[in-house]
Amino acid sequence: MANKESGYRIKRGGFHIHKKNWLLLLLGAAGVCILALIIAWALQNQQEAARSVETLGASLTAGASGKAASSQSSSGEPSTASSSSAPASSAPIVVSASKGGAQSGQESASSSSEESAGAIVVPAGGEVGKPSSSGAPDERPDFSLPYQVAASEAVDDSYFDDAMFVGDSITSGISLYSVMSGATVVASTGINPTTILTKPAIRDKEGELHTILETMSAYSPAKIYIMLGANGVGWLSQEQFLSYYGGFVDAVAAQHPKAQIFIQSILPVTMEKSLSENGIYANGKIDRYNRALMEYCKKKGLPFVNVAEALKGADGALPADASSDGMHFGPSYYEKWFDYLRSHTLKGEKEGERKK
Amino acid sequence: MTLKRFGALLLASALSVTILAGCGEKGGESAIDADATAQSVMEKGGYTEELVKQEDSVIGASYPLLDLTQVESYAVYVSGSGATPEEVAIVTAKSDSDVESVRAAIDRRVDDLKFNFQDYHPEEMPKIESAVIVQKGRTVMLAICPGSDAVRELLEKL
Repeated sequence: MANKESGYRIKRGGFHIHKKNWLLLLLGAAGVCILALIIAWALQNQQEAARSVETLGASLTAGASGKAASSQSSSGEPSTASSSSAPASSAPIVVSASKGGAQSGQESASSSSEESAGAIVVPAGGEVGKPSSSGAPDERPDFSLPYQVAASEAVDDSYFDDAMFVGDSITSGISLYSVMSGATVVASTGINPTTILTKPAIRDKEGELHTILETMSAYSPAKIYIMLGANGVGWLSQEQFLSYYGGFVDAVAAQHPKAQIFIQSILPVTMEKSLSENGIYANGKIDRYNRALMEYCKKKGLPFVNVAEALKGADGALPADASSDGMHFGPSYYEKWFDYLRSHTLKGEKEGERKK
Repeated sequence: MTLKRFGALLLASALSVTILAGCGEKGGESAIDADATAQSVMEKGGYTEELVKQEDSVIGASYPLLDLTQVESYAVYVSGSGATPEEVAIVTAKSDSDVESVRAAIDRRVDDLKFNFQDYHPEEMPKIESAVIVQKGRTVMLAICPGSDAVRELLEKL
């Protein structure tokens, strides 16, 4: 008795598979094996991703003050200086928008330091800092950090009319996308902490190139928002990074003694970018550098604005659909950034308290 | 009655002069539509990212030497991310005497991009090295993109 459709032949002693179907059976078996391998691989990746998220959750946002310091060693960083990836540069760029005009009565950087130390801090959106399931409670962000600018009542755009934004290509986007037309933007694509003081990067209308600091001298902003590091975190050690960054901040404070300087966190990259290039731009590393920046702000008495938390997805990374190169993003994410800035200011009740 | 006829005649004459003047402008130098040309370039150039149009308030950031008082019309699109040097600029000078400074502003922009990207993203340098600059009458056109050959062909046919 034969059943051609089902492909096997039943004889008295049992059933035998038709020769023609051996091949199909073998292929089927191979398919099952491949499927099993794919599932195993996916499960492994999922576990790794979960570990990565846990690490990010434990390391970022508002690093714990004293505890953070002990975990800030740059040892274990995935390589440093790769000349090919070392951005430097400078050149064209962004000065824009305008305004400025120093306001009398602005707090100086030094005076604000003492005052900000007493601020009550309640960072917005703290999901990144949730404790990980794997423990590591010691690394949990401490939301009582006094130098991180707290959530506050949202201000309108006129608040930024006397503000200047300083930085690299990410900051240039504020101007290019006309995100905050009243603010002044002094930024240069490719600038990094090592070049910002020395590289002629801004061309004036006469065609002459000037450094960022030289260009800043033409304005008198009441608030200066600095964002640096996206181009340096990949190849500068944490110590070098802070040293160069601090040198620039000191120069800005000396040049604009009446302006309130804000330090903004380095922004996250996409998960793909984070995992690429041996992790030199890993979000975990960016988080560590941000924590070091916060410690620096604490010492210097400067307000730290943790805008990174506004751009992070649930996995602690910049969402993949936000960026084509893993680092830069479009107007909708600039809006998230500025929504955060509008709702994290020193204006209002807390400012009043500081002045008492 | 005579006055009405005279008025009508005057009006008709004025209209005729206006229409003829308009025809004269069109018939003289074929005007290049900056926006339409920029769009065509972006379609042909194989651009890898969406560019951002630069308006009067921000154009100085990218083109500090471009004096808008010397410009009749322009369409400039730059990389919003800053991660690439991809760009389109179609600029028509107001007069023949303004063309040289418009051209200088565009040449300087290319120099700046070279200076900017040689260390930052050296892998993007070939796009700048093969920048297309075509001048047609009072219009100077710049395209920096992966498909420079196709764009050059497009612009030279205008």
